[in-house]
Amino acid sequence: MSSKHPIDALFEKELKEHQSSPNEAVWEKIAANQQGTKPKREGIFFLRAASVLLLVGLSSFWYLNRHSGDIGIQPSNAQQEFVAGPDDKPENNTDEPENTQTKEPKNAKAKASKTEPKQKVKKANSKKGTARVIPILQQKISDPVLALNDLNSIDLEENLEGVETIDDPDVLKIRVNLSDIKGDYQTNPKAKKDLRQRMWAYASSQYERVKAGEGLELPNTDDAKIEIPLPDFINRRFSK
Amino acid sequence: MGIVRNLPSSEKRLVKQCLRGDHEAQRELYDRYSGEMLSVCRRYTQSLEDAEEVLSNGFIKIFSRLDQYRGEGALGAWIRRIMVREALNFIRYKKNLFVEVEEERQSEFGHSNVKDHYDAEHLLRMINELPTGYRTVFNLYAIEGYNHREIGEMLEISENTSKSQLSKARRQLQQKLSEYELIAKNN
Repeated sequence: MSSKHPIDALFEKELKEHQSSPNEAVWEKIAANQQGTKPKREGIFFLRAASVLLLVGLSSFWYLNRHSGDIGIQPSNAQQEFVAGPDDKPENNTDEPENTQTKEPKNAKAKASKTEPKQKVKKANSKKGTARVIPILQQKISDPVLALNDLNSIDLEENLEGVETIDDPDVLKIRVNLSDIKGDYQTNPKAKKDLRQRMWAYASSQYERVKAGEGLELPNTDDAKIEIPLPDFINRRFSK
Repeated sequence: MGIVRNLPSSEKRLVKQCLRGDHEAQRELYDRYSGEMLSVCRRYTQSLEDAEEVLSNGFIKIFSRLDQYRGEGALGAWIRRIMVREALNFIRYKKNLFVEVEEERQSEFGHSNVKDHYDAEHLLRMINELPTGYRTVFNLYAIEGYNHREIGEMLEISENTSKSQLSKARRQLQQKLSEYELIAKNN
């Protein structure tokens, strides 16, 4: 390496590490600018929180439906309950015949056909003839999505009670049987942990979609599993 | 987050806190680097007011881009690069880059005329008195360590222009150093 020109060397030596004291007004200008900016990671947190809040809403809806029979709200002979989204019209619900195989839109069939009937349905303690219907998530996309509880693998062939189109051909109402899901679910810590991890992953994936300017999507149901956290899990996570 | 792998733990903590929008951490980062960065800015601008304007704009940029810092070099060097670019933007904004001055014929001084030590503030003043083009190229080449090709790209000038500006800057600085020595000797 060639030696440095003496003028360059002199100025570099004396000035490269030289320091001056800025006027306090400089920091005040910077601080004023920073007051108006939101930290990026904080923004991420709020988007995640928003995703989770969406899930809380969904899960609460599901949870209340699941437990309505347990706390005596649901009449004992009300074996099925039809639940649909906010676009649902009351007249569509009231006269649904039980166990009717209504016409299935072709895309619903396509979705159902993806699910292998090999999954075993856990029907511990289930009463014969008792059918519970979980809330149906609705979406305005071509493929309908079933929201089923993860710990009770659902065989669509057996449990799909009915799918019908309503006013909007892209909005589907789907009824399914849901077996009793008490037991493992409440007590098995591993199952709870798995559910928690997957729910958090789901919330994260939704955040990524929102960040990319896409809409929220409902849980992937290729394996006919629902991924919705329970409210108590959410509470625990945020109370840490 | 792929940042700050090789940083000392105190800087790692500081960067993370700044990313979270912690104003006290931002102040700490500012206090740590503002003195050195103001000196950088003063070398590129002609007045303290201009230097402080560049300093504040540079730090605003640093805080807004801190998430892009990957810890691949020293944090101070990353901050300095941003500050130098901010100074160049300022000079461009002022549209006074490469205002040529009529050059007086100066006799070349031998290298032996350069003493070992000068007062930094005096040297800073000498740089400030250079025409903008000379000053900018001299700063980039002699103090920041960029080569003529890099300077040409940064300033959108040819390598030869960069070389000639550097040469003229050195000549003027050498003259100022001689005058400074003469005044010091007479005092």
